[in-house]
Amino acid sequence: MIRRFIQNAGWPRIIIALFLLGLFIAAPFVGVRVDTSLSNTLVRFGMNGVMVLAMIPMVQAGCGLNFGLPLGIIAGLLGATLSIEWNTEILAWLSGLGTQYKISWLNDMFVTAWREPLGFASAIIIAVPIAAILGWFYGKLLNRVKGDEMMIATYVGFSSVSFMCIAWLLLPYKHPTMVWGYAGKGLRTTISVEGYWLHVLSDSLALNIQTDDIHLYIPTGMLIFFAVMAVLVWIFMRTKTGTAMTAVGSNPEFARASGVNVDHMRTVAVMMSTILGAVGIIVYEQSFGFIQLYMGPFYMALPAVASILLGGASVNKAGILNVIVGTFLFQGILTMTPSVINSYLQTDMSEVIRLIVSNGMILYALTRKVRAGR
Amino acid sequence: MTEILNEYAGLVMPYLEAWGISLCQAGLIALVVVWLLLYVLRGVSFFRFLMRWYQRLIVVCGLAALGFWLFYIGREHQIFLDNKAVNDYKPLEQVNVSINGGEAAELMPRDRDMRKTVGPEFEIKAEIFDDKGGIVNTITRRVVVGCSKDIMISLPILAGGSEDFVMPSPR
Amino acid sequence: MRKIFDLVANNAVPAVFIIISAFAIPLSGYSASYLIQELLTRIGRNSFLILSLLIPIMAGMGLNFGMVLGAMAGQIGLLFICDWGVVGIPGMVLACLIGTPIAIVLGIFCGHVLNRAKGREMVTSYILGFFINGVYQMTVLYLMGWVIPITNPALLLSRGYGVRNAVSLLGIRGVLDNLIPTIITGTQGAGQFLSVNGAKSYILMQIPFLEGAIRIPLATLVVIALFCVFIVWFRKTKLGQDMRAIGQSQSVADSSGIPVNRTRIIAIVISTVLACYGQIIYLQNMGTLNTYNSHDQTGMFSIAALLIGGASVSRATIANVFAGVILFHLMFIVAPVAGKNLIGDAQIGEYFRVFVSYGIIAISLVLHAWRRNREREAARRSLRGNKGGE
Repeated sequence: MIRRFIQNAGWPRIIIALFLLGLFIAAPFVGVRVDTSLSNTLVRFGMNGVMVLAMIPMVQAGCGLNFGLPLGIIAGLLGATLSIEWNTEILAWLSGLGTQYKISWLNDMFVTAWREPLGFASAIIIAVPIAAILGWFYGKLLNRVKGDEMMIATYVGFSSVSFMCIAWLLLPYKHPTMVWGYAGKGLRTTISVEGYWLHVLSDSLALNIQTDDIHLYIPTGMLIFFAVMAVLVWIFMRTKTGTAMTAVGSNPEFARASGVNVDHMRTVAVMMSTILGAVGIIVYEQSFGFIQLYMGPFYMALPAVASILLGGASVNKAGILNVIVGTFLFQGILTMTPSVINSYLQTDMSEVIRLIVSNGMILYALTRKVRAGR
Repeated sequence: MTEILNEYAGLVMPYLEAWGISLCQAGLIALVVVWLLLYVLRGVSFFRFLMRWYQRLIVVCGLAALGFWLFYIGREHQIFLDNKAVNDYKPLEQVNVSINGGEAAELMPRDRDMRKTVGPEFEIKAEIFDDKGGIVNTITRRVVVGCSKDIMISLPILAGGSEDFVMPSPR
Repeated sequence: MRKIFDLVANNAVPAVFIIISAFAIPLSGYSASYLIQELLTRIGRNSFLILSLLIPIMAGMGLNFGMVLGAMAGQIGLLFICDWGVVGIPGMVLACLIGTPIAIVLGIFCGHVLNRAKGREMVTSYILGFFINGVYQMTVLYLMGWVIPITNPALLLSRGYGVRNAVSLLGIRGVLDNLIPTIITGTQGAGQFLSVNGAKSYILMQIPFLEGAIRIPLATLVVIALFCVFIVWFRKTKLGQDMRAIGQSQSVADSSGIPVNRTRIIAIVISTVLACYGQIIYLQNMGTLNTYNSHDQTGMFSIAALLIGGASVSRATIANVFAGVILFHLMFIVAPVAGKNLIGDAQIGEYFRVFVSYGIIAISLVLHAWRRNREREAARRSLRGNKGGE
């Protein structure tokens, strides 16, 4: 029974889960509050959850782990920056729309009161089509290189990030909070979203108890958003398209024989992954408070990939449960190691532990014997 | 060559003496330990070990010796030149010291300077002046540093003709 | 038609780079002697690292992103000789001697891991590089000075353990490059000696239009030439033949009695050890070791250079290496200045360079996978066609 459990879960996951458990147990003894740590873990869980969710469609469709997540992130960054650039215009347009079509509730007062959620929504609405277009091309590319998707995805991600580095400098952004003050052009490395949509999800319906005994903060809104996205993905994977996608991933020959257009399914999966990545980064930014441009998104794929693998996914099979468990474990370790180990050893080992855990996990998944049929 | 061997022995011997074993015994013990390791890991018999592994052992020993030799000839030493009073020796009025014919250091009383050399030994040349600026004496010596890192040379002792002018590094 | 496609696909990348350079060199405004000097330095600095990639390609293992493992081993060797204060050529050789066993162990580990991940060696070795980077950082940042004895206070962080970010390699800086001081000059006659920076240099030859003197890292180039001879010789040995057979087809090699897994491990070990030496040569030229970053870019830049030289994932020659070094580093030198002169922003040239490095790797990988899939498809079709004909 126990042996079967270990076999199913795989020893690295068990070690990491025990390690995290140990950290939580050790926390009070070194003066780290469990409730604060738990709150931090939940916040990070909400921040990263959607990006980890972006792994599912591609893995299920047999495209491997989405190391090309930065492509989706770039779409998200474009949406985020454009939503700030055009913030006033968008709000004015919305209230204008209300006047034009005599919609009584869509007036200036409503727009002013809801400007932050509206800004956030506009970021997502701008990002999604960009992500869909990028994802379409990306999917077409990956269809041509079956068998080598992961390596190529990595470098597609890298080259798109470095291409956007040039673009961020050259694109005609004008908004004073975003461009370099002295030059008047070229976006800054980090852009604050304060005053636009800082914490719109995190703080809505948030449970915030700060007394002498309890320091608890649960970003309910963000968690609900993640849950909604997860449910959407879950439902999608059970629709006709979703099952066809899974069939393509588990046995392309069989799928083709039963009349599924393999390449089309893969393209759809890649597009979905890219769109989820775009939404994911916007959720991340609203909680983090800053938009990180230039080399910021460079290595963002690795934690997401490691998370879903930690949750029990393999290179060609992943589910919602893997995402939830994996993100919680991974982010738990990221939160707990700095606080607990630092107060014990007086050094910051979190970076090193993050490197070893995340890449060790990916390595473990890559070196496992894959089921036949791939 | 014998000097180098002596140096190696000098590095290892204190440990061996501390454990109370001779060099020969240490070698045998090392051999047996390696064999035991292989026996446990791979089940190699002692005879096969001698036959199959001794070549590798010789290569490894040769490489280790090469490493030691490189360490020996390539080590950079800081030579502190010291012109302070030591025991009965008074500081010199002025002394110009050059090491291996390099740039000379000019030391007044209570001065201390530092030069760097590479390799196990070096030649020190000290020109000792009197208070009027005339050369009193020129001393040339070869000094063996060996494997130790930094040393200090007490110039008053050197000028006094004693051989105990090499002292431990002040740091 | 196919032939034209293949010809273009094989040489498109170098051709594009020659065109870019042809435009960028006049834009940068650098003199010929400056460019030649820089290129010679960079050939000496980088060729060895890039050459270390050839053997795994020969064995059909793709681009060895795991070469950063060797680079890390070399850096550990350098840290030790810095601590002990061993300088000059003995210091360099000692660093190689210390790095070798570490590189061999890492190479064996890498080889075993890659044997478990056949068919996706590249992505695995890439992630492995990150993983070992974590272990390396743990070793250097926490264990050195605590478990591993490091005594030199100039090397350690003020807290007493862990190595500083920037380590000066003054003791071995340029020792190999300047072992045989040689210059090319435009003013004096050949066969004479000329004093450059206090060192007597032998004038190798004289080129009339050249201004000033160009220093040649002759000893480094000799080492690289010897290494090229080694690779040419190695291809002809039994082991080299085995590797090429495995590169052609693993199953055929296996059925003809070649120990596939073992040979693959040996290929990776050789590559890792050579990358270790390559990194030591690279760093003796640079003169400073960025303990936590020096190896980061090594793999990426070496691979990009090799691909720019016209190599592919499955085929690379010594000529590709040198063409790649020259073209890649020509762009490296001129891109920032050209970017500044063209758009008025050096940062753009900098980003352009990074973009080109990654883009070229991406394009080469795509082209390779695409062609392989097409060939596979064509083979399948012809098989079906034959069956239909019977």
